[in-house]
Amino acid sequence: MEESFQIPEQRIQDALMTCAGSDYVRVDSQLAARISGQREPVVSVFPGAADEVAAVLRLASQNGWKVAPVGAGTQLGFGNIAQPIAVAVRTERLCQVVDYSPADMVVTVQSGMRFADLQRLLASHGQMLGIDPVCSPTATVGGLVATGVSGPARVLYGTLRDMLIGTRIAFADGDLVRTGAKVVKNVAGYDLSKLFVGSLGTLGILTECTFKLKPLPLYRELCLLGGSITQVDALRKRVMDSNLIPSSLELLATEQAGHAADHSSTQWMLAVGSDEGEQAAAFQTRSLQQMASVVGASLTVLRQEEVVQFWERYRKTLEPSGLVLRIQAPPTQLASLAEDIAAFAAAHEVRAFHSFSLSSGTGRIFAKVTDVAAIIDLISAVRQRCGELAGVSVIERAPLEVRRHHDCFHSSRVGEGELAVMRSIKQAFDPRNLLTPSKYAGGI
Amino acid sequence: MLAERIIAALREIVSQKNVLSEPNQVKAYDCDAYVAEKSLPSAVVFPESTDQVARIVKLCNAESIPFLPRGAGTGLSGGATPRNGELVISLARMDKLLAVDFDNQRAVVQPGFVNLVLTKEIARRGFYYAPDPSSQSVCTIGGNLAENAGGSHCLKYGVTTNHVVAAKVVLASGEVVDFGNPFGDPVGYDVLGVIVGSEGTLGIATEITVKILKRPEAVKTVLAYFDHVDDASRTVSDIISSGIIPAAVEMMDKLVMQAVDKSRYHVGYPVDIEAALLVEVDGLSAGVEDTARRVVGICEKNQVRTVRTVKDDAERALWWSSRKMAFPAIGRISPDYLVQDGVIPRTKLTEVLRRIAQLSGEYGLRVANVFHAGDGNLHPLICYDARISGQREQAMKIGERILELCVDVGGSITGEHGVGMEKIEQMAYMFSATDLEAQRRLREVFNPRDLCNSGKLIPHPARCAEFRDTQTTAPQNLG
Repeated sequence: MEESFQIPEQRIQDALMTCAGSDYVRVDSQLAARISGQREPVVSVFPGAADEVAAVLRLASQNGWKVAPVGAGTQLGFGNIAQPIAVAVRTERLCQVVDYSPADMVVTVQSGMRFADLQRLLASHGQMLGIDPVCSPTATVGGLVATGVSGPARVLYGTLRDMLIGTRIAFADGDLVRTGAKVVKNVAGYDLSKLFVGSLGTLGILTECTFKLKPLPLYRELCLLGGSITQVDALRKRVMDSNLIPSSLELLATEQAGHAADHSSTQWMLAVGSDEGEQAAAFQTRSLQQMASVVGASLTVLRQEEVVQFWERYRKTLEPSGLVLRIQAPPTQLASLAEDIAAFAAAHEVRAFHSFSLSSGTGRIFAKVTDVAAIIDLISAVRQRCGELAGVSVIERAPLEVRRHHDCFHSSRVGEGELAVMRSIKQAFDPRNLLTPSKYAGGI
Repeated sequence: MLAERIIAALREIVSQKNVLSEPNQVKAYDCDAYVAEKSLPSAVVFPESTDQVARIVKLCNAESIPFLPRGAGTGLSGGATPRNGELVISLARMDKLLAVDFDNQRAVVQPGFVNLVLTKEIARRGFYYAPDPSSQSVCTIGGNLAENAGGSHCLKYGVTTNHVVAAKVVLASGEVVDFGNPFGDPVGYDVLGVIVGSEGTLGIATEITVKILKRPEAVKTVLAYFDHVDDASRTVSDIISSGIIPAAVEMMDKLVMQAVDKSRYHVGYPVDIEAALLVEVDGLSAGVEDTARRVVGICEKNQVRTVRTVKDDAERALWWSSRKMAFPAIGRISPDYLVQDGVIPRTKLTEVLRRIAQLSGEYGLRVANVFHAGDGNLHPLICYDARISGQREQAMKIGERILELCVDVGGSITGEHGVGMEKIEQMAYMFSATDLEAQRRLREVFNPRDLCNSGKLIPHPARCAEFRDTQTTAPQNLG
C-alpha cells in the first residue's frame, strides 16, 4: 500500500516496529479514550529494554508525536486532560529486577515491574519498600513513582520521595540518563530523581528505579480507637505530643474499615499502629488505653496477621473508588476539615470515605461516582474550605467529566513564581512538549 | 575588586557596616573548611532580610558580578570558596528562629540559624531537629540545605532533604519564590527537592521550614572494640541485615582513635585494637534494652574483644564528642589533612578499607578512617604536610583514587560533603556526559547567566582544562 493512503496511526505503527519489533506494537482505541478522552486511537508500543524506549522517543521527537508513558494503566484518572496522544509507551515488558543486594537494603528494578511482585520478592528477604498506597494489584513501580502515591504508613516511613535514590530515565529527545546512585546516601550532583516523583510522566519515561528499603516489621500491632471527631482529635494531639512511634495515625470513618465495631456509637476511628517490636507495641497499646479512657474513646487491639488483614481490607474497599481527592493542611486542622467534608458529602448525597494520615498533614477522600454533578459540587465545596485553611487539594482520580470542570491541581501555596520555574523545567527537558502535554499542574 | 560605585550601591542596600571590601577584611572568606584551594572574594556583604538578598542579587545581575551564598563556612568541598572572585553573600546575620509550631511539628528559620541552636531552642518541649552533621554546633541550616547535609543519625532519620519541607528562595535572577509545602506532598514538580543539595548554585534560601521531631524516649549506645577491621565491618553488615535500624553506626580506625585520645575527649581506647564501633539504638524504653542486647550479641558473634553499653549520659556525651571531634583531632597527629566522603554499598566495606590501606602504603601517606559505617559513608582522612613539596598533590591524588574506588564498587563520590570544587572532576567519573548534560539543563533553568556560584557541583562542558589552570593559579592566594 502506498504511504499516502495509510491512516496516521498505521504509519506510526510501522515506524515503531523498527524500535520494538512487530509483535510489540498495536493500535489501541480503548486506551486512547482513557488517556485523554480522545477519539483518535493511540499506537501502543511495548519496549523490551531501556534503549528501545529511548529509540521510540527519538522517533516521536523527530515526528512530533505526542507520547504518554503507561504502566498498568490503573491510574490514568490522575491529571488534567492531556492533549491528544499519538503513542503510548507501555512499560509492562520492563519488569525485571536489575539489581538486588539484600544486605545493602537497596533494590533496582525496571519501571514496569508490578509493585505487588516487588513487595513479594522483598518480603522473601524480610524487607519491604515502605509504602502502602491504595492501588490496584497490577499497578507498576514506575506508575506509583510517577503518580507519587502514599498510604497510612507515610507517618513513619515517609513517602516515595524519601525512598527513590536513583533512576534511569529516557528523556523526550531519546537521551538515556541516570540520576542519583545505588547507595543509600549520595549528594553528587543535583538530586534530579526528586523531579520524577509525582511528575505524571511529563518530564521523561522512567525505565529503572532504585529504592532504599526497610526491614519488614517483625511484629505488628494496631489500636483502633473509636469516638466522636472531637475525641479522636484529642487522641491525635496526645499521640503527637508523646514519645510513641506510630506506624500509622490514620483517621477513618468506621464504616469504611469493614471492622465490626459498634456502628451506632462510633462514627470516627483512629488507627494507630506499631511496627517497633512486641515490647514496644505492648507499651504503646497500654499508653493508648490510658489516653482512650481519659477522652472516653473505645479501643480494639489487632495483632500480627489481623493487622495485615485490616489494611488489606481497607485497600480492597477503597481501590475501586472513582474519585480520589488528596487534601493537605496542618495536622491540627485535619479533623475539623474531615468533619466539614463529611457534611458536604452528606449534603451532596455522595458516599465518601475519609482516610487522613494525621501527623503528615495529608488525607484522602475516596468516593464512588454515581452522580458527576454532585462530585463536581463536592469538590468545589472542599476546595473553598481548603482555601480558607491555606490548604491544598489534588484530584488523584476522577472521571473525565469531573476533570474537564476542575483543575486537578489546586493549591493556595503554589504561586505564579513557582509555576514559572516548573514550566521552565518542563521546557528544559521536553522542549517540544511531547510528553503528556497539558496533563500537569500549571498547564504543563 | 569591585568598583567603588558598586560598593556604594551595596552599602546603600545593607548599610555601611555590612559590607567588607578591603583585602585584609575579606581574607577570612577566601575558602571554607576545604582549605586546599583558596581565592579572594571581591567583597563580602551581610544582608539582614530576604529583600536585601534580592536587591543584592539583582544588582549582581545588572552589573554582571559573580556571587555566591555562604553560611558558617564549615563546608568541606569548597562550595563557598569564591574561585571566580565572587561577591560573597554571607547569611550569618540572618540568624533568627522565625516561628515554631509544636502542635504541627514545624519550625521556620532564617538561613544563618545554627543547626544545634534549633535543637536547643525546642528541647524544652521534648523536640529536636534530626540532621546532625559533626559541625552542628556552628553550621547553619541554610548551609545544611545547600549541601543536603547528613550526620551520624541520618541512617535512621534521613538527611536534610527529608526534613526541609518549604523554603523562600531568592533565585539567581533576584526573584523571590516560595517552594514546597509545609504539609503533605509537592503540588507539581518537587522543585524544592532539587534546590536542597544544589550547593548554592540555584539560588539562596532565606526562610526555611523544617520538620521537628519528638525526642526518642530512650537511647542506648554500645561501644565495641575489635582486633580486626574485618570483624567490625562484618558486624555492621550483620546488624543491618538482622532487621535492626540503628540510629547510628560509626566506625573509627586505629589512627583516629590515637588522635582523639590525645584531645580533650579522651576515651582511653586500647592501643592495640584495629577498630571501634559506636552503635546507637533508640525508640521506646520498652524495646530499646532488647535491641541493644541484640546488637551486643551480634558483636560477640564477630570476635569482638570487648563490648559494653553506655553507663550514663556523661559517658554517652564523651563517646560522641570523641567521634564528632575526630576531624579536628587529626590535627594533633598531622599538620594537614584532606577528608573525602565517598559512599559504598555496605557489603563492600571490608574490601574497600583494604584497598585504602594499600593506597596509603603506595603513596606513603597515612590515611585515618572514621565513618558512618551504617550507611557506607566513608571519611578517609588523608594526612600530609603542606610544607613538604609535593605532599599536598600526593594527598589529592590518593583522594581521587579513593573516590574512583567508591564509584568502581557501585557507590558515590560524596555522601554529605558535596562536590563543590574539590570533586568536580570526579563527577565525570561517576556520571556519563549525557547524565551531566541533564544536570546542566537544570542549572540553566535557574542560573542562565552562570553568575551564581559558577564552576561548582557540575563541570562545565569544555572547561576542564580551564579548571586545571585555576587550580594551579590558586596557590597565589594561599595564605
